[in-house]
Amino acid sequence: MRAEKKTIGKFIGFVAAVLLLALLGIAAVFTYVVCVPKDVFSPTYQSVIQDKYAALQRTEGPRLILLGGSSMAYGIDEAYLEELTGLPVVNMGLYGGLGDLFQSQLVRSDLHEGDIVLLGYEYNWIDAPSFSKLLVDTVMSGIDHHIDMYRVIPFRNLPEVIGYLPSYYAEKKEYAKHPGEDVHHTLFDADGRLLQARPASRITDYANQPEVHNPVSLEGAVLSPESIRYLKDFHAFAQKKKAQLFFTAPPFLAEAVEGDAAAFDLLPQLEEEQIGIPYISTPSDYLFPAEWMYDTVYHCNDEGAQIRTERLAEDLMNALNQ
Amino acid sequence: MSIISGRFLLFFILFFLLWHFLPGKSRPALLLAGSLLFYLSAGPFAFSLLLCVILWSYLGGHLLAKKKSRGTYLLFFAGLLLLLLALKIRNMATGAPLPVGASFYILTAAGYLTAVYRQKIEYEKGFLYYAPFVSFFPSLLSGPIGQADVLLPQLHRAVGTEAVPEEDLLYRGFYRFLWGMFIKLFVANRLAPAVGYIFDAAGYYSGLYHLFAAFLFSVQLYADFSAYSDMAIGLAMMLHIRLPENFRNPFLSVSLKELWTRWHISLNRWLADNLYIPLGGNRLGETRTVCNLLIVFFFSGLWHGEGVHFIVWGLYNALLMLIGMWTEPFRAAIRKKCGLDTKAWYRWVRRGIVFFLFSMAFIFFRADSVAGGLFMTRGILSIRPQELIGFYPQQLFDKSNASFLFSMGMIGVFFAVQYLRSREDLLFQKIRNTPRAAQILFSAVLVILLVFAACADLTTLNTQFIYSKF
Repeated sequence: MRAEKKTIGKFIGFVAAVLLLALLGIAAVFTYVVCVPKDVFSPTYQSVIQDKYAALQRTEGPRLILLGGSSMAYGIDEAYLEELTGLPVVNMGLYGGLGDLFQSQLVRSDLHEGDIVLLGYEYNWIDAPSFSKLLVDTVMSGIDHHIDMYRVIPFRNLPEVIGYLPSYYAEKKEYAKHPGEDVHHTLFDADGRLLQARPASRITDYANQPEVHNPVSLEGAVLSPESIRYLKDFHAFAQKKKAQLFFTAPPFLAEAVEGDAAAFDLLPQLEEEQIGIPYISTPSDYLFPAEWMYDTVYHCNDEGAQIRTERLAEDLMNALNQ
Repeated sequence: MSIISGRFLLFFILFFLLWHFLPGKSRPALLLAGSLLFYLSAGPFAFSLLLCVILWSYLGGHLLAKKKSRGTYLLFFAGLLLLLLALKIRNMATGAPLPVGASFYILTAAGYLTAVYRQKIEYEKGFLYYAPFVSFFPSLLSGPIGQADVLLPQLHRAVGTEAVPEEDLLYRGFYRFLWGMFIKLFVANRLAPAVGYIFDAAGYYSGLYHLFAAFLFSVQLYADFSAYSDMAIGLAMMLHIRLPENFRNPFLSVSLKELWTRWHISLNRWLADNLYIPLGGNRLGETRTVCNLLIVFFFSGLWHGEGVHFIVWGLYNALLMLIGMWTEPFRAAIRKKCGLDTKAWYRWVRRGIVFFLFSMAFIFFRADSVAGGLFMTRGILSIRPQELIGFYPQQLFDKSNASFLFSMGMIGVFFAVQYLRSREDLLFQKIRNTPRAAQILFSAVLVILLVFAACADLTTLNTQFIYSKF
């Protein structure tokens, strides 16, 4: 028996050494691919997430944190919102292509007592795998060499990162040869706030502008189990941290509503019944005409952003005063 | 759960530790608990089915031991086969998939009854030995089909405290498992999309592509199935249990007769022991031999799938075997006259012919209908030289020369290593004789490659093995 245990022990030691060495190897490959060279994707739109995250980490609380895709980036006047609410604002909304999961995880990783988080996800949060799948290509190019940001990725999504590494390496090499326009530094300030002036709407004829055409219908909307699971967990986490989570509606082009627009106003009740996060806005209040929108069904121009900011502040103050 | 999954690996690590560190007498119960826990994820219907098969065949063995009765044997044996048939019919009628592994463990249980009836083995008294024999988790989902005379004695020996640990077996099992995973991820999974493009849209491709797809599918199936077998055998070795080999370089066969002794060996052994020989084999004249062959291949086709095209596949193989059998005296005479048997190049010609015929049959296996199979076969038989001009197989591999060459390279590596494994002891000893640090490094590099491959495309990752669908 002793002999068997010694033999097994040696074998276990061997396998453990193999697995440990393999883990170190994977970590080394990961570190090399991600960090060498640095800042390759710095001109890209998605790399702005680094500045937003840095702003989140250095802003003293309690903070008003905004979560969403580009509807949040293009739909808020942060300075005006700070004025209206008296709270420092960190706008973490940037890009639907980063995925609701990753952007939410960034906020989760730095949530403190007293913080207020407004969830203004675009409407595909309802049924797409927004909270289970990591959009690994944009996330990795967005994070670039900032390895610390990888710690917010859920463990179950790490295989997606590892699997994408070879493609990321190739993509990095290719992009370094042909970098795109520096959107990061021309459109955003050091805190990741959008500077781009959007005085007028580019949506002149929605029905005949294929680049804008992106209808949404909420008729018979069913919340996906993944979304319910993740958001419930997020809510519980926030409550433990003594932070508050509220749902709000994103701004959306009224013309792009498909089916019955009244279905939009059923969403708050559906969300509160199944998830339980207070929904502080009426979605139809955020169905905007084309003259308040910019270049997509979710992006506001300057006027639209101001109106949206006012409505959001009003919704929030009403909710807080209840 | 798939044996290529993090969940299974964690399960096996825990099981391995318990197996080796708990007292030997707890092993049967541990194996049964582990196997049932492993199979729980297949769902309540599948789980109940497994229990029923175990209980039915255990009872059958018990009754046969009390009195060797042909009626009892046929009742219990046919009962299992009828159960399998019922599941197939249910699948054809309703689309409900067969419970994973059912085709394998039903044959395992039925084979046990035959072995008891023919007195090859004593019936297994101990339920705690019998149940884990049928539900042995490393091979439960896709074989090798368990042989009672091989596995039951090992389960008894595993309990004994006098069991001497075979250090080499642990390492063999470890490398075998890694090798199986390598073939699955780097060969089978790489070929699957290319095969799918052609088979799923055969009308868009010329006969040359159909031929290419047929060859690729043969390799894909061999890689996929042998991968599972290697992983199952490797896992069992790490528990000091030796499962029978399931493949022995089938594409080195110089005749179809030889190929069926090298391909899916456990199934063909089962068919021989439980159908062909009891029906009389080749001992009752030519007409009976032909009938018996047709029955066996018909059953084999039906076992593999529910569609008529699987039966066509089976009967096609039977026809090839019969043609081979009838023409062998004539062909042997020619070979002898021309002194071909001693020529190495001629052996390769014969291997090429066998591979071609085998692949042509497999068209019906992979196609979704007889009509689809016939369409591709006609395409192959009417290949014209000008089709070579438009032949660009790289388009099937992400339109990338690199991807195509890498896949072909992996096929080359696969066949090379499989060939070297015919001298497996030598290969294994070479590895074991290298310094321990070098072995660890080599294994770690292999694990790293496997992790990257496994993670590479999680949306399309195929962790299901082809034979787990049967």
